[in-house]
Amino acid sequence: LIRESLELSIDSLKHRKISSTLTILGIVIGITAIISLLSIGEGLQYAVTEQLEAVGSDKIIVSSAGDFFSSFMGEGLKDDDIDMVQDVNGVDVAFGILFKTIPVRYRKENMIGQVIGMRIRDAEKIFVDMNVWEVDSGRYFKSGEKGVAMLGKKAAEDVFEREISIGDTVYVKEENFKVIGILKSTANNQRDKSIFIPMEQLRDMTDTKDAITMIFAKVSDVSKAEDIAEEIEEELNDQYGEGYYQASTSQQIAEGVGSIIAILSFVLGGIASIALVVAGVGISNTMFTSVMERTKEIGVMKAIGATNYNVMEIFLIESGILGFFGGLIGTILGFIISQIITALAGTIIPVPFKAIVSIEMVIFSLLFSFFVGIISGIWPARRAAKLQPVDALRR
Amino acid sequence: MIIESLEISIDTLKHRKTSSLLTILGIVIGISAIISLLSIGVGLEQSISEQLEGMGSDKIMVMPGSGGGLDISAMTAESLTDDDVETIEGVSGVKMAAGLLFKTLPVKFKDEVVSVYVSGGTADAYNKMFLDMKVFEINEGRTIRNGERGVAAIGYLIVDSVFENKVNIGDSIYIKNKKFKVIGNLKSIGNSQDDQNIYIHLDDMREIVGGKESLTMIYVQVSNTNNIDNIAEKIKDKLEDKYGENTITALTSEQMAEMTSSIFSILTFVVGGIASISLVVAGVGIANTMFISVMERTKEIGVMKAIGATNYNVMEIFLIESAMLGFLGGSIGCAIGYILSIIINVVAVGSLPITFEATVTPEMIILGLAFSVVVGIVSGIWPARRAAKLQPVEALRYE
Repeated sequence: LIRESLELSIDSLKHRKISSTLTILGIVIGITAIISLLSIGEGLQYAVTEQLEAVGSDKIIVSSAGDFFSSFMGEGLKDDDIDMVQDVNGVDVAFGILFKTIPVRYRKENMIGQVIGMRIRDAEKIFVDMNVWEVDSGRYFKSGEKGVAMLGKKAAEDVFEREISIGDTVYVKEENFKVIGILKSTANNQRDKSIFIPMEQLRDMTDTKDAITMIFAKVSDVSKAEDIAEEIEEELNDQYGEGYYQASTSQQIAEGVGSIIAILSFVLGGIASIALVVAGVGISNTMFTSVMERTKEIGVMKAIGATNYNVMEIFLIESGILGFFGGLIGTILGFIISQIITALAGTIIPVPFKAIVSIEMVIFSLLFSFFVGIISGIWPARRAAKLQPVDALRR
Repeated sequence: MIIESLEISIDTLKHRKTSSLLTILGIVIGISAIISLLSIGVGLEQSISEQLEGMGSDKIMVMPGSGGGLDISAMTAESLTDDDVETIEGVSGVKMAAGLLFKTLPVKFKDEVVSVYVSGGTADAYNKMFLDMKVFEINEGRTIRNGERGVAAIGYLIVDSVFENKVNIGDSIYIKNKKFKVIGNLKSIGNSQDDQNIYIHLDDMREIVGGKESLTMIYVQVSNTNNIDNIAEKIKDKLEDKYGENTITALTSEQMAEMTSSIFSILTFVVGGIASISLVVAGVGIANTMFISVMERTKEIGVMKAIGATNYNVMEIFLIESAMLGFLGGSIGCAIGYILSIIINVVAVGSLPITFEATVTPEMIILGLAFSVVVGIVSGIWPARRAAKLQPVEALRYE
């Protein structure tokens, strides 16, 4: 019987072509908007995960507690803390950096740049043992060296108007540094724009005694990373008191950023869903008209033995189909738009970005639109089902 | 003739009640969403520009960097020095200048530690900022006096929101284990970040963080607002002579206000744009309703034409009908959007960390009404043309 109802519904939809097409169009617009917005959110999520993979999930980052800015601005950690972290069970290697934003110059071009201080003796750990950053060209710091700098990929290529090569001189606070190495791109924009110089020199020129901004640690067993991070945090709590510092695995950091993106795309998707509600109202409207036009037909059906349930079924299937078709076309259009966004993004923003339509999104939007169709159909379908055969025939 | 068309339209709308109501409902939902979202955007924008206006129009903020103070580097840079404050004070037209050093530091009160923004400034600087420049105003207690160390003034939110216990005047707080006595608290500035600030002496700050003479930002007050732009430019030039091109940003309060409000406008525009999609869908609904209306009244149209109605007359009737659907939806939508904005103010604002008032402006109402009428008319054009083009003979034959 469902099959019969299905056929009846399709017939009636075909019969009222313009009306059906317009009703479906409403759902199409709504779903297209939702899919393309969500695809941007999904793409951002993916970019974050990719960054995490670039950093490696076996890293722990120790910094001042608080929000994003605090972790960059806090300088409470000391050299001793690096040794403490290094000594925690399960930590392979640990090193600290000092992060400063100070004037830098290349040739005649001045700017306020990000400068990272690195202990020379940590260089081997960073580039060989931990392999956090890789040398693209040139070499890393040798012990005892002063007045030398390594540049992030973007610091060398994009930050200044003229590209910097190995052997060139850059100035940090008017002290000269010879460029000895350039790092490979790290998927971390901030890091790629940084200039790396010996820690002692950065401390001297900024009057920072033995403070560091962050400690990076690499653990030998990824599965224990979270436990180790907790242990480090406890050690710091014992020393400085509760709440001053935090140790997070790269996984936890990515999750943090990911959840912000998720909230954002949820809000935007929610606003776009209003369009779907309006489309649902449109379906109700079309269905009411359909019921009205077919009052006589319903009377005949009932007279020859159709139950209320049969009648309701026919109309619900009709409205469900309207929703489903709209969802289907909308999903396809949304997918096409997401491809266009990906293509355009490459030309507008410098970071690689890909809008992604996931299978979950497709299933969700098909179900959602079908559901909207059914819900919008309930009221008109009930009205059709409750018609008295005699009254209906008399019209 | 228009009045007649209007009457015919109203009659039809009344006749097809359910259908008209549902069509209008679509517009109502769309417009009320747009109005309430815009009201939030405008409210946020206003609260920020009010706050900047509170600073007075005679202020210039000097920061390192060329990014206009909105990137991380400007927030974290500490490349300005005490000398620069003197340099700025030497610029003609500058009334006073005050340097500040910002840091995020762990602050302990009773047994609770929270990371908050701490500003270091000289007693002189605070006197200028709190008393003369009125950037911030004292609520209770007093500001830091000359030669006084180990004392702190706290922002509005530090008093009773940041820590579990209320921080009273005379209480002790610990910034990185250094003890400070609270001697005053400030009135709300309306911005959660500034209201969560703790103000201590610059020397105390430098003792805590190490660092001899660096500053994050310099506040400047000019004596005559007329040439404030020139003065800002002069300060920038003077400092860039020292640091090099593109290393300094000097923003007047007006420029700051413009910058922040343009960011909010973009945001409001994007969100409003997404919400407008629902209006397009509602427009499709109007077109649909109008098609059905044309179909149902084919015979009527035939009669009208037979007794002399022109194509134009017929089209007019249907366009008025669709415009009316849009207008009614728009009016109700504006009303509901307004009510929603009031509800937002009652429910949301209290629970959010920022203070703002969702505001429905007359422009928004006019825009909402105009937009919905346009949507109505545009959606009606295609069905109305079809009605107008019907041949009377065929239309009369239609069952």
